Order: sequence, then C-alpha cells, then structure tokens
Amino acid sequence: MMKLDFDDWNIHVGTPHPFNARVSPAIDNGTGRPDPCRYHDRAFMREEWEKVFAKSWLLAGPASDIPESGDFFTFDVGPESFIVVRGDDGAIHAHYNVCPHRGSRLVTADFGSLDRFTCPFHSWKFDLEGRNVAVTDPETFRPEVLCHDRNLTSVRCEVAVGLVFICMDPQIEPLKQWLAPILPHLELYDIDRMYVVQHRRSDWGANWKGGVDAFAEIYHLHAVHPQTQCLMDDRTQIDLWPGGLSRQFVPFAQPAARYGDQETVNPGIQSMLRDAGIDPETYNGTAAETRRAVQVAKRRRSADLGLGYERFSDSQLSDSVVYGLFPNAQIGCHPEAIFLHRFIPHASDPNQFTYDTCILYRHVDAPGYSAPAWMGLGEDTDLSGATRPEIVHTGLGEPPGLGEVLDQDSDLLPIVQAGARSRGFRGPLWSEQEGRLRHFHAELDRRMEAGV
Amino acid sequence: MNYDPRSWTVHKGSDHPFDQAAPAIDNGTARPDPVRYTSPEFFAREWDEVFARTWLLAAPSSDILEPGDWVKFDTGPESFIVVRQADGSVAAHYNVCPHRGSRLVTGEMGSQDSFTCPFHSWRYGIDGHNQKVTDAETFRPEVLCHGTDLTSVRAEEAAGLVFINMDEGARPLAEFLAPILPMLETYGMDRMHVVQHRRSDWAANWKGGIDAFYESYHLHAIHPQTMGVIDDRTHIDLFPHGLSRQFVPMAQPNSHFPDHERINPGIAMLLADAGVDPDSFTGTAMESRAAVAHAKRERAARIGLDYSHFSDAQLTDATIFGIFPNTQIGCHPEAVFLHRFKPHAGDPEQFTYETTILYRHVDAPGYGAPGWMGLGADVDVTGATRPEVVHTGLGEPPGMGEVLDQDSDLLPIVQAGARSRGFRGPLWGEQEARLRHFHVELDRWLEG
Repeated sequence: MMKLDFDDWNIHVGTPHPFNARVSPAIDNGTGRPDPCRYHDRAFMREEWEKVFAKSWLLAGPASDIPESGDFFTFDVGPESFIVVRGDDGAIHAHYNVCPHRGSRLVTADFGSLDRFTCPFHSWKFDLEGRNVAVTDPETFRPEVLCHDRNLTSVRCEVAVGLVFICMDPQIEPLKQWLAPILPHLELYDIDRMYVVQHRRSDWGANWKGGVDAFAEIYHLHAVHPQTQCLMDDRTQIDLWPGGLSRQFVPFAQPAARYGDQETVNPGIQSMLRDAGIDPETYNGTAAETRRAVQVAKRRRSADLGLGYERFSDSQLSDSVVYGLFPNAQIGCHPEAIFLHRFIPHASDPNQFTYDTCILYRHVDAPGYSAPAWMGLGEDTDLSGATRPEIVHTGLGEPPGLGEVLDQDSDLLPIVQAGARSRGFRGPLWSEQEGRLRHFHAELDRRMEAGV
Repeated sequence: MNYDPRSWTVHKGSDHPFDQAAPAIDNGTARPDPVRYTSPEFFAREWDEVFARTWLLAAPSSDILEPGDWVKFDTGPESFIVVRQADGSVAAHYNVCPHRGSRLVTGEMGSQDSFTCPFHSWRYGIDGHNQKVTDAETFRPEVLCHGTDLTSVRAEEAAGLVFINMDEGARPLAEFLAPILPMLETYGMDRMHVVQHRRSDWAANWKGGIDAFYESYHLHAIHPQTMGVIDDRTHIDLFPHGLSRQFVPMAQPNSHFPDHERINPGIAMLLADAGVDPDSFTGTAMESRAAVAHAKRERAARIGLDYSHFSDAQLTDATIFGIFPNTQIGCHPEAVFLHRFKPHAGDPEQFTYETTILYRHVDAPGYGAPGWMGLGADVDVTGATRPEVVHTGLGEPPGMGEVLDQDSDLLPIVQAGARSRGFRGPLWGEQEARLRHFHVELDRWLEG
C-alpha cells in the first residue's frame, strides 16, 4: 500500500548512493485548490506570457545541434521565434527572429548554417552576432530613421550541461545559479556528448500546463497506460527544489504494485533484460527481481566497455530519473540517452499547445551496446550522430506517432481540457503523488502575483 | 394573405379546444442589433445568462429507462451525464471528474452502475457520490475535503422528455412548460422511442438555426419542391416565457402554388400514407387534408388507437412547439421530431443542429411511419435497437434529405449577412412572429 509520507516508499534497490538521497528540508506547498481558469482563460494566458515566459530561462535546444560557427536553429515558443546561433567567437547567441526594418522573420527553416542572415523581404543583412551589415539602398533612408537602431534584438542566452537556454528578460539571474540544485545531477549524463537521434513535435488540444501536469506524475499510469504496469512501477520518489525545480524516479524493469503477477518474466520485462545484455531464457529471477538484475548487468557492461558508470547510482541505471525545469521543460535521464520534453504554449489559444520531444543519445561503438528497445528508435535511425534527423510535426487531432503511450496521452488531454473549462469543475485536487504538479503551480502563482 | 396570421383559416370549421388560439402577445416592431449573431461577448453573456439558467432538453426519457442507463448531453462548452437512478428519478452530473477535470464518459450512451474516470480511475455511483479515490492515502485530508463527489445539476422530466438546468434556483420544469404541457402530453412521447438521431455542424449562429426553423415563410423560396404539399398559411400562438406553437398544414398546396386542383405526386404520397388510394380519390388537392384526417381517424378506430384527443389539424399537420431557448418539437400522431440548436463551445458563428425522431410503434397492418419522414427501409421502427447518432461535420451535407440540405446551404450565407456593417438588423413579418417572440425573451434574460 502506498503511503502519504513518501519517505516510507523507499523505492531504491541496490547499493545506497548519495544521488538517491531525498532533498531536505521538504517543501510544503499546502493543500489549496487553484482556480481552473488558468487552463483556459485568455487573459490569464496573456499575463502568463508576460510574467512567466518572458521572464524565465527557456530550454531552446541542445548545443550539439550547433557545433560550428554559423550553425543555427530556430526556437519557436508562443508568439515568438528566436534564432539560436554559434557565433564566430564560438559563443552561442540568440536573437529575435525578426528583421528590425519591417518585422519579417529572417529564417523559416528549423536549422541551417550561414555566414549571415539576409531578410527575405528587402535583403537587409545581419552577422551572426546580430549586427546589421547591410541596409539595402541606405541612401533612401533619412539618417534619423536608421539611427533608431538597425541591429537584431538579442536576448540572454546561456549554456549548461550541453543545453542552450534563452531568456527575454535581461535582468534574469545567471542560468547556472537558477539550475544550481540539479546541475550536478544533470552533469552526470554528459549531455554535451549526446546527439539528437529523434525529434518530434505534435499539436495537442489542451493548455500547455495540461501537458506539464500529465508528464509530471505517474499516478495515471494504471488507468491511461495499463500496458506499462507489468514493467514500470508507479511507486516513486519525488524531490522538490526552489524555483519550480523537481525530480522524480520512475522505477523500470519492475511491475507496479497494482500489477497482479510479480513473478512471471513477462514480455516487457524480457525486453528490458535483453537491453541490459541478459538472456531472458536463462534468467531465473522473478519479475520483481529484474530491476536489480538490470542494474548489475549494466554496471558489468560499463566495466567491460569503460563507460564510467561509477558516477551513477544503481537506480539511475535502471530507472527513468525525470527532472522538471520551470516553466515548461522536463528531462528524462538514462545513462544511454535523455529525453527533452517541452510543452510549448500556442501563440494565442489557451486550448492548444505543442509537445516537442527530442531524444539525445550517447553513441558507443561496442558490441552489445545500443539504445534500449523501449525508446522506440526505428531500424532506420542513425545512432552515430552523423545525420541530424528532421523534425517530424503532426497537427491537431493526428496521433503523434510516438508510440502507444503518447497516443494515449494525446487522446486524453483534450478531454481533461474540456473538463477544465466546465462550470462544474472547481479546480484540481492534487495528491502527494502529484507533488510536482502542486510545486509547479505554486511557482506559477508566485510569478503571477509578482509585478511585471 | 392577411396581416394577422391568426385570422387565417387553417382550422376552418374546427371547434376542437386544441385548435383554439392563445391570447395575443404583442412583441412590437423593433429591429434588434444583429451583433447578437456574431459577437463573442454577446455569445459569452448568452451562455452565462441564458443557457446556464434555463431548462435545456437533454434526452428523451425512453433512452434511459432502467437504473444506470445514461446518455451524454453536450451543449456549448459543457458536457453532462444524464442517468436514471435506482428510485426511477433522473439525475444529471457535469461530465467532469473533480480530481483533475477529465471527462468521465466519451461515448454517447450506455448502462453502468458506476462511472470510472479514465485518467486516474476515481469512481462514482450513478448518484454522483464518490465511491473510490485511487490511493486515497496519498492525499492530504485537507485536499479531499474540497469535495470528491461529482457536481450535479437539476434534472426533471415532463411529457416523456428529460430537461436539465444548471441553475439551482430555477423554477420547476412543469411550471415553465405549463401552457403547452397538456398539448405535448397528447402525443404520448413516453411511449415512443428513437428511430433516427442525427447531428450536423453548421456555419451559423445557433439563433440563425432557431430563426429558420421558426417560420414557414421561406418555404416557397428555399424549398419550392414542398409547395405542392405544405401550406405556408399558418396559425401561430405565443405563450409567456418564450414558448410558442405553429401549425404547418400538410397535404394541402401552398398559397403560392398555382395548381390547387390536381393530385400532385406529393399529395398522392400523403394520401397513401393515410391509407387513401390516390388513384380512386376523387377530391382536389385542397380537399386532401380533410381526407387524410378522416382516413387517419378511421384507421385509428380500426386498429384501436385512441385519437379522440387529437384535433383534425393534429392528424394532418406538423404542430410545432417552440421551447426557449433552443428546442423545437414537431408533433404528429405517429412521431415527434426533437430539434435542438446547440451553440458551439466557443465560436458564435457555428452551431450543431441535432434532430431526433421519436416514433410510436404500432404493430398493425397498414400502419407505418409516413413516407415523408424519410426513415429508410433499414430503420428498425420497433424500438428494439436504439440507432447510433450520425454526426456530419461543417460543410458536409447533413444527409437528412433535400429540405435540410437546402437549409444548411442557406444558413451560412444568412450568417455572412448578419456580419456585414451594411446589415442593420432583421425586419420580421407577422409570419415570423415566433422569431420576434424568441428574441424578445432572449433580451429579457440578457437584461435580467
């Protein structure tokens, strides 16, 4: 039976490790029930943009997407678009993707590599640092007009653990200061040595916070994703830090407590054994013992291949360790790969968001080493990092094509959104299993109550 | 045509009390601001002041006969579960889980002894009380103290129909319907069952739908094919609180139709429906209506149906009741048509037209649904199988016959005009008195 006090859950198996330690002191976010207008009200959404998105560090993309000078990607969020580019100086810069002449977007591609940016409207040109290098027919402008400033408008841009963040607020605290509580954790995964091997985007009929909420708890697994119960436990450990940061362990290779058969090595468990290099045919443990077996096998493989898993706790080897970064990023971490999840608000409609997910993989060219099968990377995926895959975008109402679990989520979220708009709904009732949701909304409220 | 449609002789020679005119109500001659058809602000106010406070037709009682039988009733941004209780009464709950807001049911109807949320499997009894909070021990007690039951709304039944009302303080349904309830009761809807149920999305404000279905003035222009068989000379009665009725004489050519003598194919079909052989019928087209009434009364006597409470007009005509805000019921002895004009969840320029045919099955030779009702050969009229709801999207023909396809083509172009700054508001004739009566009632609620 689950307990209200998470300290009693003790989900870890294997050798005790400081990484697994609970954060203390625990943060108490109370028991309030927020007004559900936050999920559908247009005025709330406009204010949220100004007070939250315009004043927070936003995950723009992995630095490994732009290794060379002139490499850029575009980062679209809400009504804005940014160009994130590696400068001639080797530093990464971010500019509004907006020509100062008449406002046109400068680039419309997802990625590219350029010496400079040329506006498609009147061919004004800008260097990688955003300085104007050509005004077409400058003699036809009165000097006072050009004095208004013709450079691109840049925003704060900083890199941590191989990930690029931008912020529209020049006064924001340094990225690493905000991320400090979890930065040493994220550093263990060497994200700067990983590459994007899959990148998908899909539009969902719900508020972006409906997406954050659904991905920040595993209380719904038994109901929405019953097929995961045989190999994923919903007993969890949740840790909260100031600034809306959080993490959660999701034990893999272990049936949920709700699952009837804790003995049989079911096909899901078999697949996880194989991923760790164990032959399920010769494995003689139970399903409930598999998680530990996976940990031991992965540690042995690390010793054989020199992967340096000494830095990881046993739980990190078997489980998904999911970090929540306020406002809209979640990072699911595994030794082999990490998942960047972003819940991107629509430009104007509170009843829509875009779910953006990137898989970053650490390529190891060794026999028996590969991406775990459950990650669903197809045969045609280039795991070497030599080719950056295209972004696949699916529209509203289309199944995102990200596997059964995400198709189930994308079916569910619009019906949760519909309820949030009902006059019969008075606001969510969050359990302690949903502690990260309450923590996220408490931070949101703190920002909304602050002045612009 | 006469200025006062109540003096039109659609009930010539009748002294039946059902046909008596109601006391006149004068709704004036004003031209309302057409912003009511287009403005998002007006639309939002209408939801809060009208839809959230009035009785809305949710379903026929015959769809939920046994305890646990439920239908989902969606309207505007809301969805309700309307469910029969163990004691035979009807309850309605917001189709919203109080935990995180998820819809509880997504199907159209069913039968269950409890409702389980698809998100985290919280469970509720049919009375809306919480039966299970999954992992209740992981909630702090103060959280669950906010309330874990479904939120219910008023649900009442009259004349075999279930209505719901989001306003706790609303007056009883039977009191609101009082002026027309005895009339509706003559049709025995509680003994009818659904034989066709269609829903289609139209690109117009819901009141554009109400307006079009509230008058037969447009028949000659939009539906000229009906002129040989449906008269546009009518009888309109208005009752307080936005209730109304109108007789649409059938089996009688239109005032604009040139040939009032010959038995045209439409008239021939209506005669045949009533059991009169058109080939041996010696009367004129104008005499067919009386012949149909007579034949139906004879048939009823023969097969033991009690038609004594019906006037002749009820036997032949469509007697259409208007129930504020968005329901119209077209009544015939054999069947009734429930028409609902449902506002869109957020767009004032879209609505969903929903129509349900309720049929009284009589297992007797020569008795059947009139051919003009368009029930296909594959329709089970016995009531043994409840047909699926067929839903057509925006721009698709509703597939409900030529007349409705013509209406669905027309309404978006009327809506477009309502948006024009060159349009200053509708000019309603007395043939359109039910429109004015409806809009006056709407204004009364909005000014409320």
